[in-house]
Amino acid sequence: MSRNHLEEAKRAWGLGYEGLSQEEIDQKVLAFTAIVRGIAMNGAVSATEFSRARGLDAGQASEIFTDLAIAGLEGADEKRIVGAALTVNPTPHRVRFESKQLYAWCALDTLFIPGFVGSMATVESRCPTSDASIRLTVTPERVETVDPIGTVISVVLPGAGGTGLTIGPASPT
Amino acid sequence: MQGRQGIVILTIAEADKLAQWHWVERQRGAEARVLKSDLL
Repeated sequence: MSRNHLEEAKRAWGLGYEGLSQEEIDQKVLAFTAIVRGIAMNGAVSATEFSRARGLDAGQASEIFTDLAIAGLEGADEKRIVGAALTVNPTPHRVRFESKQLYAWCALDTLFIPGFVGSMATVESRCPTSDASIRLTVTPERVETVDPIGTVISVVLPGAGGTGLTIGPASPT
Repeated sequence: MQGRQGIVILTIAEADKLAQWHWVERQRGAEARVLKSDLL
């Protein structure tokens, strides 16, 4: 694969943050991280847990959750979220943290979720073309192992109107 | 996701770089900035 594809992907994903201040980006990223960590720990995240993790009052947390529900986050309402890149609901992309079995919305998500959660994960998916099993070991820092070697990922690029949080059922792989 | 979409095929190493750059490094940078501002 060419370096151009990676640069194209980086450029496209970066568009979601265009026009935002560093503080605004940080707030979005930290909110996303808190939600993913909550799902990893408890299978869902409540507005109460989120407000505690982010140091927000209940009203602010409820407002954010309402916005995320409107944006279409999985199982979201003003009180809880059950899926944001990571979910307890089965998808083709299994992500296991020790004994806890969770699932990722898309293949690309499996590569950053361990970094957010701060734990190593084993990932199992299937090739959508050949149905062959694909296994990865992903630490918070990097992909440590991949089987079979030569595995590739198709990545759906957000368009110029991509959302800032870059969350949603994205890639078909 | 919204707007125009395209698809690129990345090796695992390339996808890992994208994931680290776009999500993990941003997350760590954000946490570091918040920690720094809390300490000031």
